[in-house]
Amino acid sequence: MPNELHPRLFGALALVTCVSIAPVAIAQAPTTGRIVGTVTDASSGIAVRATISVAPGARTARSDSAGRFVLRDVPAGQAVVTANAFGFRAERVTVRVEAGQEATIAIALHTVPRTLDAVRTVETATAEAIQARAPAGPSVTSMTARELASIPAVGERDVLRAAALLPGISARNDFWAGFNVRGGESDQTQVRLDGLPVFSPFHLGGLFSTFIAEAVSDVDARVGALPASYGGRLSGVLDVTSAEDARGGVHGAIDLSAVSATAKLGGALPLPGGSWSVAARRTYADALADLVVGDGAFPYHFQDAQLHGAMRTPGNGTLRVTAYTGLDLLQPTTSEDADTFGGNDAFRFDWGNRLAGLSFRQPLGARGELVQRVAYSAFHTSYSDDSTGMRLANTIAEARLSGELAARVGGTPDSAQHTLRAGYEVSRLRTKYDEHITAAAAGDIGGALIIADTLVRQRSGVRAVFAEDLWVPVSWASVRAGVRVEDVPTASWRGVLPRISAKLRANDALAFTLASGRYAQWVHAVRNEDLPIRIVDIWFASDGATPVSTGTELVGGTEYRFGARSLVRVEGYTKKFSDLLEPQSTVDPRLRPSQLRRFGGTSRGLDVLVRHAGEGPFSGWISYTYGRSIREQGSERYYPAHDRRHDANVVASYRLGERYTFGGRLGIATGTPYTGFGGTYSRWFYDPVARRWRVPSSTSNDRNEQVRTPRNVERYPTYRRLDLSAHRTSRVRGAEVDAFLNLVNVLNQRNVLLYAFDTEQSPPRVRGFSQLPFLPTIGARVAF
Amino acid sequence: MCLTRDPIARAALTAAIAATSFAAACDVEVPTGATVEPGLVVFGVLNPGSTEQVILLMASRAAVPDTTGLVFNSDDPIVTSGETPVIGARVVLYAPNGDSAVAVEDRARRPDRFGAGVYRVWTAGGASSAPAGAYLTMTTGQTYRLRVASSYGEATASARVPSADRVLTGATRVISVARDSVILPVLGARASGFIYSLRGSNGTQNIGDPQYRRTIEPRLVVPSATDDWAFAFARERLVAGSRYTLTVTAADTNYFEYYGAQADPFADRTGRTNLRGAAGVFGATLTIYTQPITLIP
Repeated sequence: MPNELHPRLFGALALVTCVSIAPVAIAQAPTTGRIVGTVTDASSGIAVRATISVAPGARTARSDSAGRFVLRDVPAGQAVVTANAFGFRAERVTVRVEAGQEATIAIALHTVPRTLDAVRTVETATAEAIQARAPAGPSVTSMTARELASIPAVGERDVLRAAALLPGISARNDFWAGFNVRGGESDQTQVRLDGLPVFSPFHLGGLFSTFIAEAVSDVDARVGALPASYGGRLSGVLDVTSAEDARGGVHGAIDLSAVSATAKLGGALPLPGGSWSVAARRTYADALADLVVGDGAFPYHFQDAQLHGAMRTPGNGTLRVTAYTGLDLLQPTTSEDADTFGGNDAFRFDWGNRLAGLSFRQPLGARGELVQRVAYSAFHTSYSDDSTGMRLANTIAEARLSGELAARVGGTPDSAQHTLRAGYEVSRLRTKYDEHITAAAAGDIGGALIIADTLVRQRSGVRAVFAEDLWVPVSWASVRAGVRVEDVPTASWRGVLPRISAKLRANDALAFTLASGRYAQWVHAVRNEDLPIRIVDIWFASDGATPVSTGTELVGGTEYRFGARSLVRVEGYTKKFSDLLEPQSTVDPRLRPSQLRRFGGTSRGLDVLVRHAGEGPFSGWISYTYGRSIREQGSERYYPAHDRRHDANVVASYRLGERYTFGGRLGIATGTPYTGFGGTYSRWFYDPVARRWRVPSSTSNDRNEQVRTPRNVERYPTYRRLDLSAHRTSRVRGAEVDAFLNLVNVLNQRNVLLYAFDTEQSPPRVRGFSQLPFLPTIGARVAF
Repeated sequence: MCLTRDPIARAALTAAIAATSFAAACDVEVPTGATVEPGLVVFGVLNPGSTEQVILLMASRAAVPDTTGLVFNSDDPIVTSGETPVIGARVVLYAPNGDSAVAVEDRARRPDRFGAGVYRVWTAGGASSAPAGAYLTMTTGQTYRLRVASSYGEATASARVPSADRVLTGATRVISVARDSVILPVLGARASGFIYSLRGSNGTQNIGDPQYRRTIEPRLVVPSATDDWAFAFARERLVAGSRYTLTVTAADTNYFEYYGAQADPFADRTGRTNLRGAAGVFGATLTIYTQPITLIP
């Protein structure tokens, strides 16, 4: 395991950093001139206030009350000046600009009749404010793109890393590719992009999320009390919504961070309410290392591409389409490069998601609505080593058809007494687990046994129906009662999952909530969570050998709003889990559905959120999460590896004028459990034929068998991290330029990632490896 | 240092550490003051073919033992191999019918005080042949429990002794690997796994690593170039003109999982058994077939 970087690689990476932090140099034309002129109404000669633009270049100006305008720094040569004004047809005039000279033009505009589009006003209330007025349901914590932008991040803003700062959500460490929501294992939270499930939404060991922040509008976290329409997970749902840009023309943004380059384009479609966007992102350290050091010097990259479109259909319906593909690829191609990554052989290790889906929402008069969705989502992991023939691969693919019908009964359409909702969900799941460990591969890592191949193919799925009634008998009280029935034929499991929640509003500011529900989960990521690194997941579906996991939950809380955009929310919960699954061994990558270990347990805790989502210069939140989880397997009781007692985060952003925004995040959390080291011993061998014990030779590895403490009785030290960010926004030739600086772990706190026991030394040494050190990065975003 | 043997985890961890290093290009080592406390290690394997069941108790250690100058003495195996014996422990073996036997430490009954940490229960020859309270009848197919109470803590485990309708020792055969077959007779063995070991002429020394199989393989030797016979693993070591012994041993789940994992680079070991409160293993074996052979070209 290398602890130091290869010198050439370090050089390449240093260059990456230097390039990323180099100031953006904007080329200036050597000689320019300027254009002055007037804009008038062709029929009356009266001055017109108009917007003037010139090409080439992106200069714009606004004519004054006398119709006069000036365009400065116009490149010498032929220029086309365009004037636009409401009620007039746009006019273009070609003019020649001499360097250092002034060209004068007069533009006469002709009137045209214009029909105004219908205007819909949208309230800009926060999601929490909307929820405060909403009837009983799950508590939602939302983050907008603007908030995401100001949260300090590694290299570039990150949707899911920011979500981990919300109450009830935690990530084990800086590299943990998963969330633990209210004491649940990380596969118990479903992350969705526009409603499409994303099985493993992280790159590079959880350091970055798969979502292209530029293409995201907002994130909603639902950490409990899920209504009957939600199924398939035990703990929570994180909904990521694509951004929609309905402005005319083509707009876009380019991000260049220390990590990756991102491009996004979008705009209105020539369809009613239509919009489109495409975005792509790729890390470039590998390409730069290729240039500087040589081919394959840094053989890792990740990439994403995302597409989203929306349009209105006849009858004021909405049709939305979303597609995403992402890939992580680690592929050393020469033995020298492989050494950099800790091995002597070339291998290929890749993983990624692919998903696509369509949703259709159709109002049915003033009191009804129909929703229909089609979704496909797949995730694959593949490790192959051609030199040894070793192969480990896992794929999960889900095709899902779902829909629901809602009807508002009684009262007025806007404040119905009953909102009845019924729906269905049909899911088809395919998984494949392919394992081939050759003698050469086993010998490479210390063994001599040819291990039998394993090929597991699962065909599973679920059929579910649900119904619920949201009853609002009086303005200050509401009850949401529902039931969900799920059938997993391949697991011979059928369950009735009741959900109920109630909300009482003491006044406009204060509300109390209580909710309970039963949940089921029929897909399982079976990586053992005791391992501190979670790069990818291995997924199995429920079948005859793999049970359906279930959980029950009781949540109660209160919410107090002060002012228009501030709130305090406190929620307590208790949960009980059954038939959770994990591999038999923490270190054995080989998995068999029939050999998974079942366990159950409880989680209890309290979440506190104090939030101000202001339109003014300041916004932010303080979140505090207390949790206590116990897991039980037979007579064994232990703390799960994600059991964190206290987790507090302070997140704030401050806008200084129009140009500067500063962000900060302070996180303090008590340590998570780990299994400690109890020393070593010799592994004596009993010879059943000779009927005697034999001591291993002094040179044998059997002299250094490790003893571990009882499971997860030790805890890592307290985690502390202070991150800061600064943004400077300016306009350059009509484009908005955001130059940003991120300072991660400003205090360079050595938060422990893992401990390792080096038994080859005498005395053996316990070593620790840290999480992210102090990490400054800069980048820029240009939006046009 | 090897953090893990999992190739995916290794690659992933390397990538993560590389990413960290990429970010700051600094040493990621964090010193820690964690200390290692000695704990209880138990080694016990029941074997109905043996008149005495030997259970070894020793302490886990914080360092690799320095065996310089030590001469191994089979009468005092723990001490002379550099380990720390657990002395004065109470080791009780329970039969399913409620009978029990308290093991006697060699050190307590030998005049030379050798055998610290070596505990015995007698299971053949009658109670009169054993120290008082140290005799227990052992029956195949039965499950026996072990309880250890020591200054290093308490441990418990259970093991089911394998059984077979027949236990055979075949007559010496002269065979040619290129021409003759050796097929295992039907023995009616009931066990969690089977161990195939090839012995040298003295009958004790293993030739090659024993092979662990979950299901019984009746084709011991097959005149074939393929590998689908149990002792094919030692084909290259079979020398014409030499004598060998083929043995097949049935094992309970603890023994099989613990020692079968010996050649499995991924397995954790004690965690796969039902031994609680200690490291090591408590299992059971029964050698069900022995076949001496003399090889000819």
